[in-house]
Amino acid sequence: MRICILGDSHTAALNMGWDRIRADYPGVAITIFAARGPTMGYLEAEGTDLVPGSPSLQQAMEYTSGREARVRTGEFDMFAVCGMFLMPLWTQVGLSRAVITTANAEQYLLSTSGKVATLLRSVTPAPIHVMPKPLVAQRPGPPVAQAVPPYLEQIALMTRHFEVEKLQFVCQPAETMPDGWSTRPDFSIGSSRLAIAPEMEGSVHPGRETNHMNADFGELALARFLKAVI
Amino acid sequence: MNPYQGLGEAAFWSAAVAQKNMFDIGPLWEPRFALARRDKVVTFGSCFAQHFGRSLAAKGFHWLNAEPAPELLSAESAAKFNYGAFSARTGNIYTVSLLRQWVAWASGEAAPAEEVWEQEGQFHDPFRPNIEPGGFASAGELRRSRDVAIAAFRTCLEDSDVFVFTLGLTESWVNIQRGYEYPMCPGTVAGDFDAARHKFVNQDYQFIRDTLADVLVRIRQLNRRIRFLLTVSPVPLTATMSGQHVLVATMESKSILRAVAGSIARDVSGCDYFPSYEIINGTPYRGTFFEANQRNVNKSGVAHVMTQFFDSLNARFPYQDDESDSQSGNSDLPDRELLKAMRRIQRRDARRQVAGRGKETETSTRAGEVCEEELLAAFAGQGRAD
Repeated sequence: MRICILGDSHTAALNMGWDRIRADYPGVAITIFAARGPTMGYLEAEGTDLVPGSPSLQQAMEYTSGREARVRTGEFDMFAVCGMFLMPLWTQVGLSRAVITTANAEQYLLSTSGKVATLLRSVTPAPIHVMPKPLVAQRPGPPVAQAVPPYLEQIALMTRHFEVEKLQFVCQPAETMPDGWSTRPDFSIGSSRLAIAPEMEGSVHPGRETNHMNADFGELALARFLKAVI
Repeated sequence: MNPYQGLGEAAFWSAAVAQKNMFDIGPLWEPRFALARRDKVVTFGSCFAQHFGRSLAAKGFHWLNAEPAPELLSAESAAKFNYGAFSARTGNIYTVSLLRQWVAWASGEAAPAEEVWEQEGQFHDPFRPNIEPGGFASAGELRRSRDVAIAAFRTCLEDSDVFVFTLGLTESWVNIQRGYEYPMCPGTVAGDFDAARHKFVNQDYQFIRDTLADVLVRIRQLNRRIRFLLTVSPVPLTATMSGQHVLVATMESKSILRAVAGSIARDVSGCDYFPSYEIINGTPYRGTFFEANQRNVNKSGVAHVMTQFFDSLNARFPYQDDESDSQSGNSDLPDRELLKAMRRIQRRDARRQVAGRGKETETSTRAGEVCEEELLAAFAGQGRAD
């Protein structure tokens, strides 16, 4: 199975996780095309391929994939769009699932992830999985009101909302979310930055980083994903 | 000498109406109390009340929205889910008895009935059947949402300075066993009609007057400083169960509501009546302010109503207009320039009519048609008022 992952800095954890477990999946090949921040928003369609629309994106895609900066969609069985969108945390009481899902979907379509998935869908009928950014690592302090409906359910509602577009939203592993709305803090310790050039390899986030996750998280998330799709 | 001799022009139909261009008729309202920009105004009632809220906000007045849409929801979707239509997400409150029901819920005097309408796995609120286009996901979600609306409605009652209520209907549907009222007949938008449980009631003048008087007292018990502004929706009935022709039923219903509103406004201190009903439905306006279906009020009608409202208010209790000018660009109302253009067209047509008096019948009919086409052209691309 040939899987293509398109994403932002959050692909760094998946990449490290894949290095750990690739031997367990001899029939799986994963190619990651990534760039920092919203740079993937510069992707453009060219026939059934996706190509970089800026020099910086071209450089990042070449480095992260280890191949030419061109996503030949026909070469892959499925796609995963990683990061580039954070599901909103809802604390307002009394909102219906329909309202929350509509707002989530609108925010998604405005995000870089939404743009990339839409572009991808325009050039390929292959399955597209959407992995939102991990929930922020839990900080010490007063508890935040529980989101209603729960995060897991919101992810499922998004898949139903984008049924026509055949986007499958993927929730981060349940055991990484102790309370259903944040990521366990130890998963953010030692997270690496996305390297888009040789000199950036091995660079880690500062100690208090709460948005990016480490190789443990990447390994778990990727293993769960592969278990679901293979 | 007789008592009429001392009256001003406004008291005489010929001078005040017949000899005037329709846009020059007025002022039609003498406000009883001032409305400061800092005054918190809430709007509820029939569909037409929505225009008051939007216009007040666009003019820089403090229209209180106690149940705003989530910030992440687009304006289009917020409207679809009925956020911002009224000051709380109550949906239409067509009758004064429905208003009393909401006030009873908000004050804790009564609780909403447990009844919910399930259809194909979705749940509809019998008291807000249109509030969620596809229904709620569960009965619990429906009740939580309604609880939020009731709390927001209570906030409106307690925190507002002016309560604008548009009376819409006399025809109502009630639950026979429990006595509570539905805003719409069960089985229309949602639910199932059951003749053993659902009864049609066409409310009469005395019932409506007594109910409205009672509900205003109850609101004042929650907020002693609150003032009331009553209006009557000019929108005709969609359908009638009265057994009369819908045109006749409409005229009777609106006449009753208009009479009640006037009577209450005269008798209750801090209560006023604004004649939006007359402005839209008055014979001098010749149906100009209705859409082609002769039911929906068009944009120019809403604009003229609100212009009359703000001009009358400003004349009696002047307010600074600088702020409103800067905000009106965001309004969906036609601006003053368009209204002026409409007036110019009307005046020109009036002059043509006078010039062609020899062929009065033919010319006046044609002038009316041309006028309407030109009015449509003047507002092209602005969409429907509702």
